[in-house]
Amino acid sequence: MKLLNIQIRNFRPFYGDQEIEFSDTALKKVTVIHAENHSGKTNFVDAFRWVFYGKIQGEHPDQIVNNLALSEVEDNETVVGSVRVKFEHENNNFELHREVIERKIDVNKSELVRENIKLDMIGSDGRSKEKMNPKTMIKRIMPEVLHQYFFLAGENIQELGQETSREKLQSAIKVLMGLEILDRSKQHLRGKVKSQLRGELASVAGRNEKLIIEEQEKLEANKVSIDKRKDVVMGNRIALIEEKDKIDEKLRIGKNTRDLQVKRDQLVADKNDIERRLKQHKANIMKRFSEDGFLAYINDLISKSNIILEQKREKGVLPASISYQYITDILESEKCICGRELCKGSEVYAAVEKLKDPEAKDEYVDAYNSLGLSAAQLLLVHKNLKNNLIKDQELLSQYLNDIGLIREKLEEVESQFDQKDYEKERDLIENKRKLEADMDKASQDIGRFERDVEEIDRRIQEKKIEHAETAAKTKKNRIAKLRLQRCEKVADFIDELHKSLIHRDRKVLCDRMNEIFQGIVKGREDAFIELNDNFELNVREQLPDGGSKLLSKSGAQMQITCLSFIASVVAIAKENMDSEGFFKRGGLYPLVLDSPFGVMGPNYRKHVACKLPQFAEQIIILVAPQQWDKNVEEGMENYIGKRYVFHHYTPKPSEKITQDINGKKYILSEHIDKRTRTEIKEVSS
Amino acid sequence: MGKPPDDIYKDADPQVLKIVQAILNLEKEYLFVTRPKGIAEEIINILKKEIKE
Repeated sequence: MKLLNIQIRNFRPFYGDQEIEFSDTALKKVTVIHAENHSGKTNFVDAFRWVFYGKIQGEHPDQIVNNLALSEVEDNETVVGSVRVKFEHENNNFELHREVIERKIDVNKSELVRENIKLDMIGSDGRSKEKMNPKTMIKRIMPEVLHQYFFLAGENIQELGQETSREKLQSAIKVLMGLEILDRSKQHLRGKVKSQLRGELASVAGRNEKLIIEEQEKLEANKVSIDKRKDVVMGNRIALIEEKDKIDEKLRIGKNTRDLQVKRDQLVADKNDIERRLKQHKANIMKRFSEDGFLAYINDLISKSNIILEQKREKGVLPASISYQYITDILESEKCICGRELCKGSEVYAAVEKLKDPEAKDEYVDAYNSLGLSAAQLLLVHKNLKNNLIKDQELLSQYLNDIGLIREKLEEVESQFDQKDYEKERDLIENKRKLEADMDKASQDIGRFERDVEEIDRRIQEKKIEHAETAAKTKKNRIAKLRLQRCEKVADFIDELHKSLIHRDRKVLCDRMNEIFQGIVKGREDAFIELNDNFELNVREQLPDGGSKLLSKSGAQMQITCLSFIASVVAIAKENMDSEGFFKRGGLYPLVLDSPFGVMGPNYRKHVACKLPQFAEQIIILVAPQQWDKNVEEGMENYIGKRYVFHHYTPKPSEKITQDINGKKYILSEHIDKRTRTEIKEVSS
Repeated sequence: MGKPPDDIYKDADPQVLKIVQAILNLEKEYLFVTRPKGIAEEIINILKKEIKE
C-alpha cells in the first residue's frame, strides 16, 4: 500500500480544503511535515485513522467538523467535514472517502446528521468502480489491529512499552503471522459446533446419559459465564491501568514530581521483573519435584537394598555363585525369596526353574550388575536433588528478600509523596492510590475467577469420564459421540498449535527487533530487547556475571525499542508478502509518524533517521522544529521527496514561530484573535 | 514450554490433521467477514463427512 494523496475538508483543526501529495518513489519515499506542537500533528494522524476505521485517538473524539467552519453558518445549516485518501494497493488505485454532515443548533452545539463512507477502485482507464463493502475491503488491505503501528502519534510509540500494551502486541503478532484464523477456528469449534454436536448426541442418548450431558452442559455454561465476568473485570482493570498511567505520566512530566516518579517507575519495573523471575523459579522447583521428588523418600530403601545385595554377594548366593542346588531348594520349598507361592506349572515356577539352565546365568549376572548400577545412579540423583533444592531455596529467599527491599523503598517513595512539597499534586496522588487499590481488587477477582474455572474444568473432566462409561453402545450413539470427541480433539490440536506458533513467532519478531535495535544504538552491545512470555516489551542490560538488568521504561532506549518493534512489524509484513506459508499475512505498508524522536539524544536521532527509511516503503513524518535538527536532516535528506508546513493560527499570545527550510523562512505559528485554524502549505524545493 | 509446531504436526492423528486443514481453509475464506453466518454448519459438515454413519 502506498499513500498518494490526502484531501482534508473542515476536519478538526484543519479549516476549508487542505491537500497533501505524498512522495512515493523507491528513492524519494519520505514526506516531511514541519509543524509546531499543538498545531494539528496528532489530528493529522487521526485523519488517517478516521478515514480508514472511523476512529479518533485525540481529545474530544466526537468533534469531527472544524469549529470555525461551524461558526460561519447560520443555525440549522449543515457543514461537511471529510477526509479523502488516494492510495495504491497491489497495482490498483483506490480512493477512500469518509464524511460527516453536522447541523448547527446554536453557537455551542451541533448534531450529527449522517456519516458516509465510500471506497472506489480506479481502473487504468480512469473510471471508478464503487466497492460494495468498503469496511471489509479496508480490513483486507490493512488489518485494523495493525493500523496502530502504521499511523502513530508520538505518545503511542512510548506506550508500546507499557504493561497495558501486552494484548496489543500479542494481537499484532497474531495478525501479522495470520494466527487469528486459529483463534476463530477455536471459537467456532468450542462454541456453536460443539453445542450442536452435543445436541445431536443427546437426541440419541439413553436417560442416564442425557442427565450426565445436561450436567456437563450446565458446568460448561457456568464456565462461559465466569469467563465473561472475568473478561469484564479484565477490561475494567485495563481501563484502571490506563487511568493510572495517565496520572503517572502527569507526575513524570511535572517539574516538582519528575525525579520521584522516575525513581518509582524504576522500582516498580524492577519489582515486576523479580516477581516474574520468582514465578518462573517456583515453576522450575515444581517441575524438579514432579520429576525427581520421589527420590527424597527412597534413600533408606536404596541403602537397605545395597546392604542386602552385598550380604548375598558375600555369602556367595548372588550373583556368580547362584547354584543349581539353591534354585532346587527354593522350588522344593514352594516359596520364592520374594514371598510368592511357587506352584508347579505356574509361570512364576517356570521362571525360577529356568535359572537352573546354565545359559540363563549370564542374563542373571547382567540383571544383578545393572541393579547395583541403578541404585548408585539413584543415589547420585538423590544427592543432586538435595543440592539443587538447597540452591533453589537460597535463590527463592534472595528473590523474596529483593522484593521486600524494593517494597520498602517504594513505601519510602510513597511517604515522600505525602510530604508538604507535593501539596499541589495531592489530588493526583490520592486519585492514583485509589486506582491502585481498585486494580488490586480487580486482580484478586480475576484470580478467584481463574480458580473457579479450574475447579469447573476438573468437574467437567469427571463428567466426561462418567459419560464415557455410561454411553450406550448403539451405532448412532457411537457415531455422535465420536464426532463430538473429534471436535474436541481438533479444538485441542488447534489450541496447542496456536500456543506453539505464537511463541515461535514472538521469538522471530524479537530477533528482528534486536537486529534493528543494534543498528541504531551503535556501541551499546550490552543492551538488548526482550519480548517476554507475557508479551511485555523491555530493554535490558547484559551484566558481566551473565545476568541482566531492566533499563528504564521512560528512557531513549525504550523509545528506540518501540520504534524497533514498529520497524520489525513493517519489515516482517513486507517479507511475508514475498514468502509462502499458510498463516503468513503480508503487505507493503506506509508509516505515518508524529514526533517519533521523543527523548532521544542527537546521536540516536541520526541513527533512527538513517534506519527508518531502510525498513519502510514510505514514510510520512511530522516533526516540531525542536526535533528536526541537523542530524535528522542529514540522516533523511537523501530520501525526502516532498515537504509541507502546518501554518497554525492561534489565539494564544505568542511570538511568531518560523522555520528555515531550503533557505526560506516558513511560518509555523502566529497569533490571531479569532478564526483559529491550521492550514497546510507546500515547501518549494 | 510446549512442543514446537513441527512436532505437533508430526505427532497428530492423521484424521484430526485432515479435519484441521479443511477447517482452517474455510476460516481463511471467511477471515474478513466480521460475523460469518453458517460457518459452524460448514464445520459440522466437514466433521460428518469425515466420520460417516
